[in-house]
Amino acid sequence: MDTRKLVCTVCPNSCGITVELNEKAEAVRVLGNKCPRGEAFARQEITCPVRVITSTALLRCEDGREALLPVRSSEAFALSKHARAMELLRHVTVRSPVRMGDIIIRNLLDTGVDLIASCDS
Amino acid sequence: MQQYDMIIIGGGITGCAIARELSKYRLKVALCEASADVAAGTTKANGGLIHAGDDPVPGTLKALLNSKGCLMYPVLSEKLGFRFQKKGSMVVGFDEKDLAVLKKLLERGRLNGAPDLELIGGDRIFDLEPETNRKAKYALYTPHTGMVDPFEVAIAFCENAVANGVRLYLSSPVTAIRRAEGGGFLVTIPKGEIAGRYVLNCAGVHADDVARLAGADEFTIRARHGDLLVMDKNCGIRDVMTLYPVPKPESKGVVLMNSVSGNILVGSTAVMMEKDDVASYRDGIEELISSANRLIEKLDTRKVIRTFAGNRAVVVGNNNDFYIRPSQKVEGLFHIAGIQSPGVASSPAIAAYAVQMLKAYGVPMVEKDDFIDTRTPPVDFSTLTAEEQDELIHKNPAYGRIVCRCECVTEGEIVDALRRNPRPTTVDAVKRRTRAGMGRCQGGFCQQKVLGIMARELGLSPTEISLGGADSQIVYSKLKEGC
Amino acid sequence: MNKLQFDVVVIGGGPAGMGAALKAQENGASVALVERNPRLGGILLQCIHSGFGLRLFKKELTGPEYAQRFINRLKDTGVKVFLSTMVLRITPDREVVCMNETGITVIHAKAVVLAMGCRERTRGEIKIPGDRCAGVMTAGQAQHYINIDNFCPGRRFVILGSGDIGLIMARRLSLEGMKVEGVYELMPYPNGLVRNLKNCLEDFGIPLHLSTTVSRVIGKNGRVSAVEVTKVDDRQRPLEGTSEIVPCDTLLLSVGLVPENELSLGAGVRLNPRTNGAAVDDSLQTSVPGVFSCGNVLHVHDLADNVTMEAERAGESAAAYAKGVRGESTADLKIHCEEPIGYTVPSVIRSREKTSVMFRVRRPCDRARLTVISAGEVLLRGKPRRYIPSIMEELILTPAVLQKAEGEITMKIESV
Repeated sequence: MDTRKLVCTVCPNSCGITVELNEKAEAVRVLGNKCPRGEAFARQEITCPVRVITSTALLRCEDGREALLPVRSSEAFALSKHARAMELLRHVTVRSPVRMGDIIIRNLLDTGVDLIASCDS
Repeated sequence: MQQYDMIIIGGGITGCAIARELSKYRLKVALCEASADVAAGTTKANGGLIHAGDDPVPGTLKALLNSKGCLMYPVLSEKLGFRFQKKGSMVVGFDEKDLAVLKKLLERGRLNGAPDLELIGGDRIFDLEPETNRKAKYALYTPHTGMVDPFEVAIAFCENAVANGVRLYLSSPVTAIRRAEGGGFLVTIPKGEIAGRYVLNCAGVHADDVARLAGADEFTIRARHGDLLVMDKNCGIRDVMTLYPVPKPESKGVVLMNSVSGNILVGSTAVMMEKDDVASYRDGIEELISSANRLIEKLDTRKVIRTFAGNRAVVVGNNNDFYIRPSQKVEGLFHIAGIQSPGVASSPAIAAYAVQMLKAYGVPMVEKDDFIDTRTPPVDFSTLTAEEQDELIHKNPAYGRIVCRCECVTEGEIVDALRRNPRPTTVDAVKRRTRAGMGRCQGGFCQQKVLGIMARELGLSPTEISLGGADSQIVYSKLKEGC
Repeated sequence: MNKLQFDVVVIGGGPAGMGAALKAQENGASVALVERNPRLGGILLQCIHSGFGLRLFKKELTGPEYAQRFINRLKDTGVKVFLSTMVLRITPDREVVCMNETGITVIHAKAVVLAMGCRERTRGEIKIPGDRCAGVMTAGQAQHYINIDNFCPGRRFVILGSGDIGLIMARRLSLEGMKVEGVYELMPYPNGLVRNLKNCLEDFGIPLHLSTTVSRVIGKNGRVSAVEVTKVDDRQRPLEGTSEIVPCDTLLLSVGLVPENELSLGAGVRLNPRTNGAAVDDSLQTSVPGVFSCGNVLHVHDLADNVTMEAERAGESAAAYAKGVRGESTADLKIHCEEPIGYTVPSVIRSREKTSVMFRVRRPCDRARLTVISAGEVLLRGKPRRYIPSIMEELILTPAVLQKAEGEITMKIESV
């Protein structure tokens, strides 16, 4: 039986997890996690790794100045789509005022996840 | 084409001092500097010692110009508004063998006419400098050794020269020198050709190359490389007297000194290297650290904030003396070359000597009656009293905005530097004028602020501003373009 | 000159300063919070990545989100916030001299909380030889250029140091389309959190080279053109014949953080040479009465949440001091730590109340246990577990344990 070793990144505990895989590379058993979130993480990581993306978007302030607005995805989404999300962000302009949590891009790349502002600006 | 009486090639402290001296006369003077700023070569890689004239070999040009030059500093400091501090120095000896050398040095110093030298021993050493290694037994005490900031001095000379009509060409390496019809020279710089009746070659380690461009293949320069290091102002020791080790036959040794800005400097090593190699070397840095610890045992060399290096120009076969003379091969060309240590201490006297040389050559020199001999120094916010600071901020709120927090440099000071003539155009040039970025974080916190202020004042994008000229761009493109 | 008076003056508006100010205010003190930047939040504002708040908010927040929560809280309090205001010096009798565009202001404080944070070690401090050209910068400086200033500070990077900032920047640069050639680490083990090694390097295929350092910077026309990397032996000395040239245009340094205690020194605060932060007691009071310290200016933390919690203790202590509440005076208990424990904060305990002792090991210990001894008696013995330098540890000493201690407490970590 194949196994894969992972480090859980859900919390700073950083559990070392071993996933036992069947012939179809599906997770059969998850070992080494201290909490159920670790098991969920490991199963996700085997099938389709997901991450929260954090970046910036160009912000046009009320006085005309340009600045950067820190943004994040509201949830983790497929790592494989992060490069496209970054490309998209290069050409976005947000106008102030913005509040933390405001949606900057709804349903980012059809992931069902929104891109939101990380702070007031 | 611009016509000049004098073209000075090289804007180090020597070229700048000569430019200022020549600006006292009714002459059209141009100063060509290859770098984006003056004082950017050997001058900036210097500890700033003003030697009292005791050390050079008696009878040399160096001995003459050092002892004259150091005496000119107090007055120049007043007139041009740069810092000069007389801290004194000791050559520290540890045993009888050292004592024998110290006695010779004392004798040499007296021959040179250096005043008030004293051979001392025991507790007197520690009374004068309590931090001295407790194993020290003897010392040669030179009370008149001073300190300056070498680029501050060169920039002051240059600003004063420019105020008196000298035309400064920055980023202007000389690529060709040819004779003009009807006498004089045509000097090629990137802007084109400029014409000058006389050329003064102050090109530091490249003075032999410049001489050759003019057809005067008459001396060779080799570079003696030196590493230096700068300590944090809070390294546990402050305000020390300059300390030298007993010199060895091959070198004067590594000196520990207190800069006029309050950092301990250690330098320099002495190794012959390629002319343009101003990298710092691990061996050199290690030598500096062990030498510094021999002078002051408890110096915590983990508190180094920067290492740097530079090259001294050594004219081959000239016994380490300065090489100041009219060319033997090309009429109207003068060499002010081989200006190695103590070049900073000697520079005002070198400038005066160069004028004498020109006069002796028959160059007509008529003094101006409108020479401005003073310069308004920039404000140093960090040294003001709270009341003075408050008053200054009320007059100009830009002085209320701190840019460099390590060295307490305000936006007002940076803007002032950017509005002076010559105007600094690189981040390093601003640093050398204001100290922004010279502290313990080395610009980590303030570089982007300096870049922003420079962009605003110079009407450029930060992507167009470099650290020290050439391709030393700091930031490339914008990341987020927006829509 | 303006003169003001407050019970508590907090220097620095990052996570430590905001935490301390809020807590001091909550405890009935009048509070001034002085921040040199035009916005509160400190370094959190440029730490746009997530990973903050897990301990305090049970949520994975970004740096700006973490900061915003405290900024919002401050809005609803009477804490007087001074922005774009730089503290020039603090006197031993707690006069805080500040400057801003309106001039010089002297604030007299009954208690001062130092929360100035830390700075990064630079090239000069680690003495990397070579050319002094553009393109050598600390990771945090690059982070500022990229996340705040909207500028690309390079195209092809080498990162020295596997601390968290270096790792996070490796990811950030990759996401923004810049190339990271590799991360080089002097020690034989990585210095950042495991999750960052995975999310920042593995995800982007960036190699990590352990026991390797940058031995020389090579420049061309004033900008970095390559670096020389060299393997080191187990005492971190370069191994001859192992050097390699790595072409790049930028060298990022993530080689450690140093508490910024220049103001503290001016106030006469004694530093602990092991932390480069103030030597403090269990109320986080420094050697100068009424001056407290917290956050990264006290010792370098790896989690902002821990900074906040420590700052709240300092804020509470400062408010109590300002109100004239003095704890019961008991005999000092000195904390003595043995290798491989690098330091403890506090280094002395004055009360006998429940005390949290933060500490860090200097090298990884795979299976080891913590023992606390006083007067020859073992007061505590932990379970065998792993200790690594990148994670700050907390030991809780209960009143029951403290009652048994005498004169000095010794903390040990022994392999089992």
